[in-house]
Amino acid sequence: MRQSSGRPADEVEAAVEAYGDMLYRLCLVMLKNRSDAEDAVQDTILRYMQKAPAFESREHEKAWLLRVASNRCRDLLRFRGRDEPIAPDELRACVEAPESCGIIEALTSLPEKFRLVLTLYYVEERPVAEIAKIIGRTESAVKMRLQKGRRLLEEVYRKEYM
Amino acid sequence: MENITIQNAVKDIHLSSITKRGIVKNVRAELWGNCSRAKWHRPAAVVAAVLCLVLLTPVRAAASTSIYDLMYALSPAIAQQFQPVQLADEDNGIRMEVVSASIRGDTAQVYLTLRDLTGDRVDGTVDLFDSYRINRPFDSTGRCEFVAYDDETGTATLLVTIRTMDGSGIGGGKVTFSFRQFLSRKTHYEDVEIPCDLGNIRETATGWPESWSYSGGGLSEREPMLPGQPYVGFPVEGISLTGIGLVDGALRVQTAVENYLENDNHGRLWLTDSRGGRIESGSTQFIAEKDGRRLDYVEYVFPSTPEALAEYRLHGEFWTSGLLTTGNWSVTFPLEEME
Repeated sequence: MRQSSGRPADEVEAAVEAYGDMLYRLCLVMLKNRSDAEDAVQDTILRYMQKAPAFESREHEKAWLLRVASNRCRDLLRFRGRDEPIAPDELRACVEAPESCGIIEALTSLPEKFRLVLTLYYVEERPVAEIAKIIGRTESAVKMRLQKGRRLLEEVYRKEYM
Repeated sequence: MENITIQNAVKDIHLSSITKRGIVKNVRAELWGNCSRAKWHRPAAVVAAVLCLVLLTPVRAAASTSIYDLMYALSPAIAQQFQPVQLADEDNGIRMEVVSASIRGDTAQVYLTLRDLTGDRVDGTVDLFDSYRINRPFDSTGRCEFVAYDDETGTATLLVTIRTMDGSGIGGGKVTFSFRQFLSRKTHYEDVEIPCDLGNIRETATGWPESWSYSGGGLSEREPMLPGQPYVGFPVEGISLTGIGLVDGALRVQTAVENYLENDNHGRLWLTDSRGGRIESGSTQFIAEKDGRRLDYVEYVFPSTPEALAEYRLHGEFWTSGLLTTGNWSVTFPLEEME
């Protein structure tokens, strides 16, 4: 009899422990809502367990998870059809240092396409070529978004928090 | 603005340990089935509601026959979709019986009862505790839900739902349902005020206890409070309060659970003020050994200033379990699709 999943049951906890925070960071920045972000993380881990793809390395595994989570977030955003700012209470509940809130608020105020590439590049340190695959654009398009996104982020942060 | 600032700020976002546990539990439930009271599905919800009514009325009869007969009597249209099975297995004095089952398209549903033949280990809080398995000759997802408990016969009723992953019809075949352990005598502390004067909390030393073995949720980047002796008067049996203090001006509250893998005791904390204001906590976790016993610690961290704390009271919600029963229960039964 076949098991209903591609990975053994005891790997769920290890996967959540190893990648939960990474996925949650991306999903929260993208979705700006704890509940939706938690759902997106759960969907990503579920897909990881069901698909059980073979990975060449840990970096390859991370890239796969980030791509699945990014797609899930973009699907949810399209479905939601609105882009409201993150509620301060929502943010304070999931960060430990209050000084982190300002820059996260500034980041989440940017359009979706900029906050995704900024998070993948500056936070998760993914290479430009990999980000291009994740978002389905060229490397030069990623570089443009990084350049413009960073400028927008600086403008918002200086205006609101400095 | 330096890149490292963006990275540090966003990397400060963490999933709480409770949320992580919830995700683990939900993913397991989705993949392999897991006893939960959370979700209902038609037509099972209607049948379950009927069964709740039936089981809460003073009816005396052998469990499975009564449940099936009364289900039929009260809701013939839905009951007709279920076939009587009435096959049982016993181990460790616990009898598990498959009462009835149904197949419609890509979904199979099975009602089971659980009864303690020797004592009172089965009660109205039974949880199959991630030990539940359904094996089918096709890829499927499964879920097990608590339906009701009959005080008169000491019988808990559960509903198992199996669905093919690709949406294809099940079309009949053999199903084996099995599990190895269950929790009971569970207590839910819904909103408990934890007695402490938050206006007199002091800076507290941090450090790792001896024999710590694992950490998560951010503690790998900073030290927890050194665990102290359990506070007398903490109002939750099965969870200890091992520390409350300020670290760099932030309130931290630390709890510990012994033998967590055998009881699943857990909770969450928040602060409230007299105006209805509420502050949620983030949390981190680590495991340590003391005198050969495993202790699972959770450290709750609140984003508040020491000056503001005096206005708040500490509250919590907790779930604990009093008994773990182990064994090996398995029933294989045929399922034929109903017209």
